[in-house]
Amino acid sequence: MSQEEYYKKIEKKIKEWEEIYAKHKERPEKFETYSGIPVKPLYTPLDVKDKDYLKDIGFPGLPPFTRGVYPTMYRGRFWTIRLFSGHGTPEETNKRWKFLYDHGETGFSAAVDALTFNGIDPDDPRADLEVGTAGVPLYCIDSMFALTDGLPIDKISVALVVEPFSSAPICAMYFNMAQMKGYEIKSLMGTCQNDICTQTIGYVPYKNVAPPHLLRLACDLIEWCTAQKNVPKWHPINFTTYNYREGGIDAVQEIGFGFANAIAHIDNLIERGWTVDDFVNRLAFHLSASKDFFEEIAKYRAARRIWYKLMKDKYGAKDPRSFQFRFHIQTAGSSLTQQQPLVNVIRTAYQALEAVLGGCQSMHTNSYDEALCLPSEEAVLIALRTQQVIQDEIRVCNTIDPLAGSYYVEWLTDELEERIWNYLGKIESAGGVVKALESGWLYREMRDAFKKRQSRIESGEEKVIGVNRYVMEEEVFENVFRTNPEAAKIEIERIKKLKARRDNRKLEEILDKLRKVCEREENVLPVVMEATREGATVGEICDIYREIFKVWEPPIVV
Amino acid sequence: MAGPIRVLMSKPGIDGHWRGIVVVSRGLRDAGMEVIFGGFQTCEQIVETAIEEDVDMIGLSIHSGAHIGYTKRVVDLLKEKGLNGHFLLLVGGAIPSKDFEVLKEIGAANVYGPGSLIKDIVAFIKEHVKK
Amino acid sequence: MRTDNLEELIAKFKQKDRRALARLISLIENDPELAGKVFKHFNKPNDAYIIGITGPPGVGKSTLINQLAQKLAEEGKRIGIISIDPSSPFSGGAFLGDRIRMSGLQQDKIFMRSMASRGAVGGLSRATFDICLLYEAFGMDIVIVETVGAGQSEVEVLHLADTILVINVPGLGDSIQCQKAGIIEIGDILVVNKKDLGGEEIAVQLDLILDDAVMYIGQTGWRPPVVQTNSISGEGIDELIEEIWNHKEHIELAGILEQKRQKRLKDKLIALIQFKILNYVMQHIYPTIEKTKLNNIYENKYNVYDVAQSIYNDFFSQLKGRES
Repeated sequence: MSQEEYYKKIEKKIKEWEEIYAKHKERPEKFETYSGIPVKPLYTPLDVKDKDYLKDIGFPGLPPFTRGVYPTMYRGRFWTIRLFSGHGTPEETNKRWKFLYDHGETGFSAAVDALTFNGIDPDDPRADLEVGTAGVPLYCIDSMFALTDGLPIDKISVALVVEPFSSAPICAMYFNMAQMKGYEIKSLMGTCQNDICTQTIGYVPYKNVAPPHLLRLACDLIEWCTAQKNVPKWHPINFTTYNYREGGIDAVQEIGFGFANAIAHIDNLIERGWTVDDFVNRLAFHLSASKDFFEEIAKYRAARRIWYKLMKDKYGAKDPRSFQFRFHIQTAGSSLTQQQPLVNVIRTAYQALEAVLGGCQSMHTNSYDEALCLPSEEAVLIALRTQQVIQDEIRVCNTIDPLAGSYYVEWLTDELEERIWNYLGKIESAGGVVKALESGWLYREMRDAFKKRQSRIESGEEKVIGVNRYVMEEEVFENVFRTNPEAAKIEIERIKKLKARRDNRKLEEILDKLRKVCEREENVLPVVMEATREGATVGEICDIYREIFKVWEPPIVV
Repeated sequence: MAGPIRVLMSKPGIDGHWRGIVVVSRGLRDAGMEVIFGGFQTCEQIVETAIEEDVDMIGLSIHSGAHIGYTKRVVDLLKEKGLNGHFLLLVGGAIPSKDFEVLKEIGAANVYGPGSLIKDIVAFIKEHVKK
Repeated sequence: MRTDNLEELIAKFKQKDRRALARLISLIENDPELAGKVFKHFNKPNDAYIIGITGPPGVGKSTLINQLAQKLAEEGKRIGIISIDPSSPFSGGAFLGDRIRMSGLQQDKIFMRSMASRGAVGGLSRATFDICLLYEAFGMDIVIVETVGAGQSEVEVLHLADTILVINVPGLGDSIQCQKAGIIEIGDILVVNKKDLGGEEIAVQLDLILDDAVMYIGQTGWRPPVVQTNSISGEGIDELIEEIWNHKEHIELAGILEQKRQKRLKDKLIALIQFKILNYVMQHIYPTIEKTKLNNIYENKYNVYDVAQSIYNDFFSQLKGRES
């Protein structure tokens, strides 16, 4: 029997089955993915009959990378367990990091407070109440020494979750600290987020500069670390589609935004005279593991394939490493509820499983109390154990990409790929990421998406346990983690000491040099390295950006 | 003669989690209210704006964990100006339910944590704004 | 609680209490009839100079006003600002987001109020004129009225303001063509904001359009200057202020200012008469007709002109009834 005859036979059988199915009642529900792709009751070989296994799916570690970026995947090495944490002061965050390290964490990640994020020093009266409340304050080289004290930063990688406005000084502080401790910065491992879209659509920036300047600052770091090989093992950027996704957009838009953003950076660096193979292999992504189990897995698989095609066809990359789409995962904070908080443990576990079945390189799992406060030690330990259960107990890592060949997953992977390409085209016709940010187009997309989601929750169409389903009277959650109320005082004291100790006249000269470098549009990193070594604060450096580039107010789209 | 309800929606401080304030502002507008959008404001600016715009309600959106500090500061300033009780004060954001009572004692008329529904906020304002 | 007692509010208003000003604005906004009672308490108001600012959305009007007001306040002027945004025709609600660009205002010198258009056409809210008068009575030297960028219907600003600024930005080439006949011609000063994005080109284009508009210029003898600004850095603001004072001097000398002010009083008077009569008709005559005749008009039993005439007749006979 030929292949064609075989498919005809199946087709006939499907028709028969559909008639039987039609005689039964379905639950009254719209069966579709969260991004609105209609889902059939059944997928069969016919849904994937046009697929060419060798061309479209292939093998792990080989083009088109649908099945994973490394040949061995988790049979060689597990993903890095990297829990995003930071609160109070660098010393307290250091304590938390040590706690997690002692219990099996394999990578560190610093969440910074709103001041560090926006390049404001703790002695600024506009923000004194927010020192250390939403992350760790890191604003001078002394903070870096305190943060990493006693930790093996030569062996374990560190993620600094900072954005382009303050990424150069904060990375520079970290590099300087490592050098002063006697480490070679050429071998330093780690990453920073450095994502212009996180800084503009993920969060609304407070007194930052306009997107073209942010793009330039982001690319300065990529150029200096990677292309110029000063910190070659550092990932100078993580396109953090997670943050956009949390704003309410769907899986298709998430990857569309992320790739459009990457394109803007790649084009900037090519304009500077580099080739893609000089830097692309160190560009990384930080994706969301959200609520729709199979759609998310299909998203990761589709994203790997699209990245490969982009690098090969659009940019003509040659280095095989340039084709590899590597990503960190964060389980979806927006899926957590304050109501019945322990249910969040279950949500997070499923999302973590998605990420593993989708082939992530590192992962943060949310703590169950994160809709209420920064995580307590008890809650963060459960989050850590969630990943360890997947690694050690349930044996899903025995084989690579175990869902490949599933009619549904392969079909959905193709469907997502097509929709993502279309969406990328839409962003391009809006002028690309930077233009779309300045014009407000991206904000509008975000707003529409979130509005849709909110109205679905309000109408009950999107079910959320504890919010619009199975609501119950609850005891008040007592175990709320509080950040150090003395943090502002401690940090102001730290800054006083620093300013008394450093050579302020010398620093002024360096900062003057930075002004000129900003004006001349040269790479800021060399001078920022010099300035932070001399004790310049993040606020002082960002103030120079504000002075030269001017403060930008993003469009408000309601 | 009563006009539409006027509300001030504001984010005290510098934290950039704006999704909540934008969505609620939109919801209040769609419920027929005039929403004065303050965006990032210092507590002083919030009080000054509430006076100039003669609003019925002040909504604070706080996701930085500093909700108690900011709410207290706004209420203290209102008291200082003899305006305590002039405005319906609502606080929303990433706020643990444990702090709801604390904020109400400070002077919030109601508090909305994650998972709150806009229709509930609208109903509360319509019920409590004296027109 | 807040007071609605008029006597009390006016007493406080006279002591320069900002809260009383704010409250009076609300009261008048909610009930335009109240303005008559309020203004009984004031002598002829001061001579505030009214600057109207208009232009399409997104050109940086609010940021520019922020800069302008700041500079004028530094010169010792007291400034009242009214920013008008549209009300939703569906819900009646409004999103008033102009304050966000005006965060650094000096409270002792500047008073800023956001207003929703509440159904008024032409970009100006119904109570705008009354609030200008309130600002004057409060001692403001300058009133800035910012209106929604509603295109050609913005022409109504013309009748209120002494000097009108029309703001544009680079990259709105097509919209300039559309506006040619309307909004640009009402500008006494044309501002090209965001000059860092390449203002030169559009400035030249505007100049050419103005050169064509000889007739218009001929009426007043004033050739509108084109000023390039950058409302973020503050560049060009000094020049803009200078041009505003140039225009003021010109219209004062040419007697245009006086004409303008007479005209705006006349307009207000007509608007008040219209409002009062319409209000009466809508309250006392229209409701009785609405139920019976409206459907009949729809079903072609009556025509709309005859019904209007019969309403007018009813109104007239009621007037006569009251007289006797």
